[in-house]
Amino acid sequence: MKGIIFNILEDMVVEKLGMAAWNSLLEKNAPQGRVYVSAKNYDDSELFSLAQAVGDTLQLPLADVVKAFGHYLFQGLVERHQSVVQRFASFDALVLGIHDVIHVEVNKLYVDPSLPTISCEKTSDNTIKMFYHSPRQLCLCAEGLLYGAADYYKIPITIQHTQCMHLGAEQCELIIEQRHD
Amino acid sequence: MTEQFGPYYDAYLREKKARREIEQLLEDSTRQLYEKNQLLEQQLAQIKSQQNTLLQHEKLSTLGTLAAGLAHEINNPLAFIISNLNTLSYYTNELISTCGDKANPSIVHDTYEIVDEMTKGSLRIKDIVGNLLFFSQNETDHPQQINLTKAIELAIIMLKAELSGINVQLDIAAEHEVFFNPSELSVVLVNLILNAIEACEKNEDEPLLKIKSHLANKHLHIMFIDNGCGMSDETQQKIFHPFFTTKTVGQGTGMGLPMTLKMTTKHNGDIQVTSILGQGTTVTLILPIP
Repeated sequence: MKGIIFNILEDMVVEKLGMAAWNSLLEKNAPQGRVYVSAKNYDDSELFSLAQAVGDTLQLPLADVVKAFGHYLFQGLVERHQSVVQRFASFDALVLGIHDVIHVEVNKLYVDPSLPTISCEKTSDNTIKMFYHSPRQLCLCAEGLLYGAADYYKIPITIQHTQCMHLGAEQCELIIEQRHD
Repeated sequence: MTEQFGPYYDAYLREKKARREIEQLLEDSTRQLYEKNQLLEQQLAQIKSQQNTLLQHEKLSTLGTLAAGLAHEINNPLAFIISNLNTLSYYTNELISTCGDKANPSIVHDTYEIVDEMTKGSLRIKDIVGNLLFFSQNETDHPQQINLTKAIELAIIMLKAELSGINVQLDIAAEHEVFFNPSELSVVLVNLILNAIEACEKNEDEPLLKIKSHLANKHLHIMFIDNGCGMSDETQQKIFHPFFTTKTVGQGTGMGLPMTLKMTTKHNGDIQVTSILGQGTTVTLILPIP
């Protein structure tokens, strides 16, 4: 997992729980003296341990923490990569451009970013069907990212996770619908 | 959190901001490096492609010199072999009719067959030599403006028998013309259509050949699209190599496409091939607009 993800997790933990909490999490779940550099790769298990520890601290299930982190992650990525996000005029354009634009940009910046396979299709004016596949099975993080993106574009959405890798599916299927409240 | 309002927290935020700015600079440089690298890779691929084209032309040019000498050496003895075979055939007929009923029927049958096969073999050698000679000949026929629809229709008429059972769809603008040596254009079109026919023969469902043209970048693109057997990447790389053929021994000379390419490049054109094994092939003949 790239250091940038750890950096944003740190931002979230410091913002929500304070610096002491982050130091304590690092002490217990990362090698001694660990610093996270955005472009470097770190073991996935380190991120999962940290996320689990956040869940334990907040007494939340891991799934909720991962989803909440996904939500926070979007804003962190926007702050760091404004120019990429500004290319998309709408939420739909951004979601439909994940594979062809965003992942292309990520590949320019990072060596071996191990990106998930994402394909999207617009099934109606208000609905996008997304397929997600990754050995990391971070579909809940993807869901959180989508909610984060919807907040950024100030549109309300609902997501139905109609099939999931955690339940044995080959890939996750997410139906993203824009609500008109 | 009280800790988040102290001087150390401010310092932490400052340091974090500094680090992010440095990382941003690094990312900008990495992105530029990646894009420049991509450009270099594209240019390298273009140079390699040009090198391959040059090599291909070099090969064909060498082949032309070789073919001229070889054809001359083969043609002379071949001419008297064919001539003598005709005489031998005549003498055989004479002898057999002289012998009448005394002639052994199986020997008579074999003799006719042997002479016939020798004649066919010799004529095939003559064809191959004729093809080889194309690479060295100085054409006497001059390029001229030709209506593409008429040229394609003529090629289709010539291949009427071979095209039976294949759905041929033409989409050629009536005004499209090419500047080409007429007899060579005929060879080029016949060769490309023949290749498509042979590919389609392996499609037992609904063999289809679409021939269509369009203008792009001051060139006329004539596409021959078939839904035949397609080609592997390996075959695609070799199709313009002289004597390369996927047909069984004796069925093809492997000279059709090299000749076609040579004729096309001579008229400042090019041929592009895209193919998916098991799905079909698109051959695009690209010619400058007259």
